[in-house]
Amino acid sequence: MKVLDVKNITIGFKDRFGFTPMVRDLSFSIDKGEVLSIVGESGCGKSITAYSILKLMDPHISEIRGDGLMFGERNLLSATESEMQQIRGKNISMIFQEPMSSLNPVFSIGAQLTDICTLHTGDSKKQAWQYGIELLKRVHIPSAGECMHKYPHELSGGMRQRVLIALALVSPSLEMLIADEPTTALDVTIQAQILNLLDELRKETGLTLLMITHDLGVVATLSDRVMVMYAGRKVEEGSLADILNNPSHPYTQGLLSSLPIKQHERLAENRPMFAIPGNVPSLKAISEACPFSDRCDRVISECKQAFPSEAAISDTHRAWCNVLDEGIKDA
Amino acid sequence: MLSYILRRLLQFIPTMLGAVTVVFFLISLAPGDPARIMLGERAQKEQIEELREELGLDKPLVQRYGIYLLNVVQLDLGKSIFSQRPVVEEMLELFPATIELSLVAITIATIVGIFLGSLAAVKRNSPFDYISMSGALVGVSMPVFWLGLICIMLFSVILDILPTGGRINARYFFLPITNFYVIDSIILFFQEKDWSYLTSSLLHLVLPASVLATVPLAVIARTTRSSMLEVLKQDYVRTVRSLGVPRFRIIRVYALKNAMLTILTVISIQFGLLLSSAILTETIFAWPGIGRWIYTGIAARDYPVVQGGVILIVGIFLIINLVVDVVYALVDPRIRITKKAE
Repeated sequence: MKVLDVKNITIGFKDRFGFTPMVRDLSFSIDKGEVLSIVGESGCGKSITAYSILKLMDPHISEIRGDGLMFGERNLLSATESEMQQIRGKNISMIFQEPMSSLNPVFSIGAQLTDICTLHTGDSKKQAWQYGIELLKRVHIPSAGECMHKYPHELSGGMRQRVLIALALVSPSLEMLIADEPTTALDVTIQAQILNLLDELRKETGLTLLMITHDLGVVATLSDRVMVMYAGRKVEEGSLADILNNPSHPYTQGLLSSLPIKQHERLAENRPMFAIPGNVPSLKAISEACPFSDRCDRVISECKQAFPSEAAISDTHRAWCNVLDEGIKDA
Repeated sequence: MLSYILRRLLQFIPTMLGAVTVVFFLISLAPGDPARIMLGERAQKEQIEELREELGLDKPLVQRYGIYLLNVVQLDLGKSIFSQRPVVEEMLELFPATIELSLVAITIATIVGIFLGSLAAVKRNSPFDYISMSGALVGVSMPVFWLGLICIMLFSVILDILPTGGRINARYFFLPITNFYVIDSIILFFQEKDWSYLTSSLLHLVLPASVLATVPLAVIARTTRSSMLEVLKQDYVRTVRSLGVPRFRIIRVYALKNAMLTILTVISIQFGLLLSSAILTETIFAWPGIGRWIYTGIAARDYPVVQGGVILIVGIFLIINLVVDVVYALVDPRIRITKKAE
């Protein structure tokens, strides 16, 4: 069963000069209990996509167009702000990449938790306080009762991210969690703890997880399926094994080849590490062509004319590239 | 917290001492001789000398300073040269009037200012935002004495719905108990079951308080708008938005407390300025407060009155600052913790 079905949406910013698309013709869906990762480098539109699902962007400067943003039976594209308030935190919640600044500095952890609890569960303050302690225990915060009285600045980054996860888990009718680079701001050992926690929570509760990340390590730890984005376009999609073992799009291949762990030979020979040449194009300058064509070493003339059509590699694995057949090679 | 407050109170002593010293010598530098002013232009030299001796003005400056300082420590600020009444006594009588006026004014300014500022921030770049913020700009720039006169013209003379000045209807027999007329008339209401004192004293407050409130109101509204906009951009606001907290509640509960830190500073500064700058408003509305008292004191070279007035204002500023710092600590837990750690 599909929890979320995104149909052909284009997200962009509008100003007095017109509409600038940041994400184009994006379609994807997530099944219940599945973990989908969206991978791509900074500015590829993955965070904008996450924000758009909850319609968190300022409607005065941004716009979501397309055929549908189906959450179950509801089309979120036509939902009003007050309808979205009913869904946010209750059915879909989100955790962010800046745990240090995402908690309100002048309220205690307990105050913030109980407020959200009373909002979504209708509990009394006293019940909500108990429930808050339970939630903190569930995200493995030691001495949860004491933590309720603390203020955000008294907690470390990892602890704050746990509190934010607890906040996101408040609603008993939660169906999907969006994690926007939840580990980017944390150091490596804490990253692993947070990833383990997310993995544990989804195994316990059957939660659907949409993971936004640029870290292929995170992808490998958690995902069932992976979607690769480049400059506002989806360029490849497949199961975790498809993407890691048989990357097909030149960009995905480049991304995987750039991993330091795959570069023993180069390092041994004292050659510089591999990196994809060039830079991400400015989103304002993007034409209808394949956005990667400027950096691709296999570019052909068709690439410059239109965005490539879908090419199926297997039942689960798809890429949007004109030069796939000659392209599949060792990363 | 208590030890912090005590320590701050101890720090008042050197500050006050400095203020007393500066004021004393500054006033001595000012031209004009109170004895001459008191006796008028035709006074004989001998008469003036006699009065100077009587007032202690013939002694050397340093000696006068020493005597004054000793007296101040004993809470004796001297006698007013003109009324011959102790300065402290006059102060206690007049100060409640100023406090009453300023408190009402700052309350109006705070409530309306925060409301308008938050609304302008939420409806940023809307007609409401433009109109209220231009209004605030006009409010800041408008001279209070001019606005006061216009208001008297409009509401008291033309429309005849509000009194022109004073604190209460002069026909009423009114013996002040606390000198806060509103409180006094409430007491009277309980004693005599008569509303008229209360309505009269409240009606007399409307115009001066509103006029006095314009500048702080405008400043508070503009500060609220900008600090609210700043807070609404923060990550923690996005967090509660993503958790489904309704927009109105985000502003009223989550954002306002953060924005309050900046707003509090402005309110306190404005309140201090109000108390000390009520001179114009009090003069226009014949409000027998500290402002008018100092004003007449300056005009008449009444040294003890001016010195007493300035010391009072310095004290007010110190106390307001202390209160604000304590309130800060209550609002912001980060400040509270550092103080504990001290």
